[in-house]
Amino acid sequence: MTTDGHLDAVVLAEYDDGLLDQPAATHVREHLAQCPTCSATLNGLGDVRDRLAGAPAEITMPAAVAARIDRAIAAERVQARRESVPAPTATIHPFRRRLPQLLAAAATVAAVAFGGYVVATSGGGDSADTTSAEGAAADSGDGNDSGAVAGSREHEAAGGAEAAAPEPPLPAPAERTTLTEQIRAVAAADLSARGDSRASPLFAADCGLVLARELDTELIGVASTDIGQPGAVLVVVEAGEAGVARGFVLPACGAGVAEALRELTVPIE
Amino acid sequence: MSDPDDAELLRRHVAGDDEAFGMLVRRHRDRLWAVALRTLGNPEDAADAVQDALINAFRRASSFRGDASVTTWLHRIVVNACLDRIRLAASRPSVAWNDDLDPPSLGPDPGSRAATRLDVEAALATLPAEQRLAVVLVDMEGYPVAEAAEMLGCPVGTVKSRCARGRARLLPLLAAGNPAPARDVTSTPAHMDTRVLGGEP
Repeated sequence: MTTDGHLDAVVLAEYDDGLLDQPAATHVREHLAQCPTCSATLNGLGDVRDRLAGAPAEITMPAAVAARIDRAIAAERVQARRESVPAPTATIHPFRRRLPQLLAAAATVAAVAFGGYVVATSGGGDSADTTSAEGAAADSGDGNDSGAVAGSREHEAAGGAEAAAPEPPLPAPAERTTLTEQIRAVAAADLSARGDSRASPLFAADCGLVLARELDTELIGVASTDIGQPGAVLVVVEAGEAGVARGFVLPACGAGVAEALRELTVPIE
Repeated sequence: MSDPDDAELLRRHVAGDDEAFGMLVRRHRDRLWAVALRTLGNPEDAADAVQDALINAFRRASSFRGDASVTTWLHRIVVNACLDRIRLAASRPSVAWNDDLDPPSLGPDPGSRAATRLDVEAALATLPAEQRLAVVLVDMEGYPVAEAAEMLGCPVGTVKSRCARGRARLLPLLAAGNPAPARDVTSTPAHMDTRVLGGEP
């Protein structure tokens, strides 16, 4: 505790801060009472404290540094839009007339990872009957889902001549599959009906068309998403090569590729 | 209409508001800059550390749970960025000082009361990084010890002890009795103003 009969500066600093236990503090106090040198040291520690406290708490960030950091954040914002995983929940609104029931039921897209949305959707459309289809609509996890199903049906009912074809029953209540599986199902659909049923009740008839035309490709479907930007839509288009579809999260229906917030490549096979 | 508080700005940022994070940065950057500059001792490293920290905060904003204040959270990220830089510097043999080496500019006997009285920032550079951070946050920035402990990720008692040891070590450098030289590490060197500071990857 002492150096050359004097108290160590650390001990005095701890004493000053009230960190010593009672016996040690008493010892220091008694020593200080009869040692001018250690008292001077204690005063010096007070000077140090005052000088530290006297320095400004803020120092103006140089303009060049502030500007550089602002640019880095702006670049990060652009990057984040394209790369961050938005964990969207979306309801797919198919444009094609005779989509497999997975899509026709306006499946809810929930979550996940880069390149693979998990879709809460109807599993075995083949085996479901009309009764279970009603159940699918009523039992779907969230309000969006059931509303979208209703909209889809409404469209089917208004479908004119083609409505005469027997509609496959709506699928059984939700199980989880992936967007990849949906796209695969789309690929297996009757392509002759492409573009036949564009009138989703929730999206304008030309929703996603600007992007599809820019890419010179065909729309597969549009979904709402919850990536945190009001009005954002997920537009899925043909990729122009076997086994792949492309998804774009757009800030609005009429946005083009340059405005895409995020792009997905979805393997079909 | 009053300005949104920090937590509200962070929420807006997470929700996709492009302006919110910039507002948060402008609100806190001079304080964060002071911490980084005093901890790292030079503007170049401080700029790198604050930039790294703010980008990190930008990305991790959604993980902010509100169990600490936004100020504490931001400081903790800056502190960690500074420590990363110090560790990086320590791993490079060409760097002049680290936790184990006193800077060469301090003269022959920095532990002696006869050593020249230095300005506060230069004196801080003589402290081990952990003591330096504790002294900067508590004794200079004025944060309560409990808050500094959160920023540093260590117990309150450890922060108190580091502050006391740090002040004792600064005693020969900062105690009254010697005139303070004019040197000021907080000013920006001329080359910082003209340097191209591109931040894009």
